[in-house]
Amino acid sequence: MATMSLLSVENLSIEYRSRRGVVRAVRNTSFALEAGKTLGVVGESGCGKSTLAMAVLGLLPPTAAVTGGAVKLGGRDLVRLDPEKLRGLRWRKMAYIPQSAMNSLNPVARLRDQFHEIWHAHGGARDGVREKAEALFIRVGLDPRRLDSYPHELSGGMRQRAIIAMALMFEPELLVADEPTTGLDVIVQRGVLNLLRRLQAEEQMSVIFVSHDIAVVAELCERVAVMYAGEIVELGPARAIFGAPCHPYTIGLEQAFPDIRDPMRTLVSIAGAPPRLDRPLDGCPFTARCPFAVERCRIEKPAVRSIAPGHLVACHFAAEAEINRKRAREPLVWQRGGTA
Amino acid sequence: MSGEVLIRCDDVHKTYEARRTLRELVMPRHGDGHAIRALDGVSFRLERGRVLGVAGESGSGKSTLANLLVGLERPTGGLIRMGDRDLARLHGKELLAFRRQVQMVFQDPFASLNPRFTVRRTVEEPLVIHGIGDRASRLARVREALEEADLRPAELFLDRFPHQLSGGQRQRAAIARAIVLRPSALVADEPVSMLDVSVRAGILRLLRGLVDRLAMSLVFITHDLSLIGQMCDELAIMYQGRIVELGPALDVLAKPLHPYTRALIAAVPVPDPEQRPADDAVALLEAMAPSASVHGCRFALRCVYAVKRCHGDDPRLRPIDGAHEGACHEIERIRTAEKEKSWRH
Amino acid sequence: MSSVPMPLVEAPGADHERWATARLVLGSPSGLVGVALFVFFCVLAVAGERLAPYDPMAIHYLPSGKVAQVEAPSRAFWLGTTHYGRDVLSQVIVGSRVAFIVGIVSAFFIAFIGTNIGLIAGYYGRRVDDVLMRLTDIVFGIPFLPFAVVLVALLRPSIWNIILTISCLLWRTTARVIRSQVLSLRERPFVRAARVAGASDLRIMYVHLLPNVMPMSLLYVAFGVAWAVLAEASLSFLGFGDPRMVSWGQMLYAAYISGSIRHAWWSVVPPGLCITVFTASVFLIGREYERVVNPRLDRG
Repeated sequence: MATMSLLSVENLSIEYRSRRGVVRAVRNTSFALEAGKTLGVVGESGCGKSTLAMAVLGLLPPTAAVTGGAVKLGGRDLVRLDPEKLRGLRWRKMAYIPQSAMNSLNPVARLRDQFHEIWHAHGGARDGVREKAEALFIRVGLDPRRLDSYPHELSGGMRQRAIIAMALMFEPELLVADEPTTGLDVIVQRGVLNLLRRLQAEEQMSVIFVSHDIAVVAELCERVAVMYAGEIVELGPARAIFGAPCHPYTIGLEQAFPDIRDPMRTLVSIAGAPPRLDRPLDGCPFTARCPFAVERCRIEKPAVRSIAPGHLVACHFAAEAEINRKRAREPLVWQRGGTA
Repeated sequence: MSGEVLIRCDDVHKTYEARRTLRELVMPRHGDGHAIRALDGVSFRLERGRVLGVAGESGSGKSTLANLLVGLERPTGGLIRMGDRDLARLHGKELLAFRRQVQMVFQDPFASLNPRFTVRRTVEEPLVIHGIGDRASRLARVREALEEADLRPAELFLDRFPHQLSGGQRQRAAIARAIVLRPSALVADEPVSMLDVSVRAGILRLLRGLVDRLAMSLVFITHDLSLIGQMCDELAIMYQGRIVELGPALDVLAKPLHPYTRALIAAVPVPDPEQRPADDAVALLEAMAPSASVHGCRFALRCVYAVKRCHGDDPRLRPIDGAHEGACHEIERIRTAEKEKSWRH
Repeated sequence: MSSVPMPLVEAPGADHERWATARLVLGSPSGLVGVALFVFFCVLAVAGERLAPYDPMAIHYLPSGKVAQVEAPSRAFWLGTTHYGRDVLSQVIVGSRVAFIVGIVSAFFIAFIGTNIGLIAGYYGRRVDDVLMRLTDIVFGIPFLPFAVVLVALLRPSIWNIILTISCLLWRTTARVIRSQVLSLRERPFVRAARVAGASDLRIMYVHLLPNVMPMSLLYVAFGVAWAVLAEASLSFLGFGDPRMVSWGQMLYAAYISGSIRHAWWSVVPPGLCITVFTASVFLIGREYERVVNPRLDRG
């Protein structure tokens, strides 16, 4: 698929290094995102989804290093770009919405001043900031008078809206949102979700949406990448991922996730824990928890295969997913691990 | 109702007095502008072997209710009875005896276990505090509790520290600590919200199983309504220190009475890309002033159905369908309106 | 369910923990150097008399019958002699004992007083905290040396009075640090959990909170040792040392008042160096220990 992708991540590997050893947080991961499209990245804590998001933005902490692969934004490799140039791209070409708005806003500066500072630091024109900031606040559903508030004077939902307004300052092509609604109350979350969906449609931005909440991703994203132990194990259109998941982990995750429309459905719990990433992994990383695993899974790493246009799965038995989906409905299946 | 009522709350109030600044001491302002009413007249009863879900937004008072039920705080008004004891009147030895009866499971299994205690010490500690058994019999009870919490074999976990356990295992250790005293009631404050999705169901099943097997009562506090159906027999929806709806859990979820409950349920995201997300009417609730009117319904200022009466007359919980109660004047009118709306679609 | 054992740590348990800490401290160059030096001084302090070539108080004479006053280092006296004809090497070796007694005993008291005051103030908060922290502020306001000089002079110079003086003042930093730790710890859910289980205030403080502040407390023991040795040396240098015992500070004092400080480097450098190196070794261990128990410093 050589269509115009705005962002393409190619065989990306990222390691964290400390005295205690090397953690291979992201391993050989590839995906592409076309202009104006939305991609959800789901997975459990420690699966590497946030690391991946940070790598796309070039915001990895100093202990992390890209050990292979490329992150290409509009053809330019961000991994090899000089930090000054990368800084120039952030905000202008790509913006970031973090989970905790409180921590990313300066607590002792009025929102207006923070707006101005970012605007000027990234070379915004001398005039028109004021109007721009007010217009953006109206767009995200905030009273423009709130620009004169300090962050602590706003509620959690309002702060998240303010952050979204700032992210849109330069009309970026790519927006990376890392758990933007986690920790918000249901009704507040609903407001922020609806806002994000509306803005994405209006601006035709590309959005990477990182979340552990598959319901939120189902609602916002056209494509979904499921990560497990530092790898994308399944990637495809949201309809396929939720309608006919093929990787056993995706199947399990969906069976584990509650749905308020069906409150009595028995939820499964996947036995065991993700593998440690500080030692080499042979075979499929999900083997130890997979109810369908066989000897082959432990030895041979499954190749990423395409089972439908745009639907990729890293499982030896992707072709037999139909049977696995049926078996997976029985919660007892998930109570013990596979052969390993 | 057949079972024995274990927990009974009658018109429970909890008001926090904010510390006054020097200026306010010198120039007192009128009214009780300083009092924060965390709980404002909460009443319910819970039978042995039943699970009550308590749901609501942050600030609705659900955590305060949890603290009151386990005796971490005292109510400023009303009555909390546990069995035949009145919690507010307990002191010293009696309070200690009460604490054996009610235990708690906390939200964050990473912070609710002492990082310097092994699993064994963590689970043994309540036994030591209450002076139960000698070393050997305590160890036997610790083992038993761990196995009941599905940490099997117990030997494998006894000498581990919290950081050597996964999130799910930590929460199981915390549950073992809560049940080792054989309490008659448990309060679980968002017990799975910090856990990975793949292990949540296991913890919920464990809690439900323990309630059934040990004939305990459980107060299950959550903000995630989609978990209620799995866990709860009854459900209380809280708003600004009040229970605005109370009833059999599935009835409340399927046929919500109160406009606030309706909004809450409609706002929950659903793991299905085909589902049309809730419209902005729900989202609008967020933008509107959450401050309550003083005389009328606490929800009136945000309510799309509010009429004049709602601003002046404070609705109380009243039975609508058998055990299903709602605190709203307009329940009947809203029902008819909703029915017509769904006909037209 | 998820009771499947995690492929985690092979040999968990308390002993394993402790060894892991020790290994991590020794694993870094500075930690290793610190521990090696500390062990070296330990041996000196314990086996001082047997290692020293002479009695440190013995006065030596030249073959001519004169007192061997300020003799330069020679084969007989490796580090020369003092103004009073005593062997510098023997004095340095035996003097390490005072450093040890003062260092360790005062550090113990510093940590004991500081930890308790910090624990009580932090846990109870409000009035108790106000009173104890104002007391700490007052102690912070007392300049160390003038206070120590007055107190030791009043009580007459002895090693125990020096220890008393040091302990009276230097607990203040420990108390502050422990209090701030307790302030954040007491809000943690595990403390609420203990209270729900029925634990009393005392039990929460000494069974649940203390193990969590112990690493910090031990860190301040390490720093306390260093401060106490310096304080003893300062007091001795000012002439308030215990006259019955040899200490490094006293050696400096003797070199100073006898005037040999100006022309005999061997009367000054060995004790001075010992103070510096011993203090540094304790600081090195403390720093490494801090890095291990407080992993946040590692990541930065």
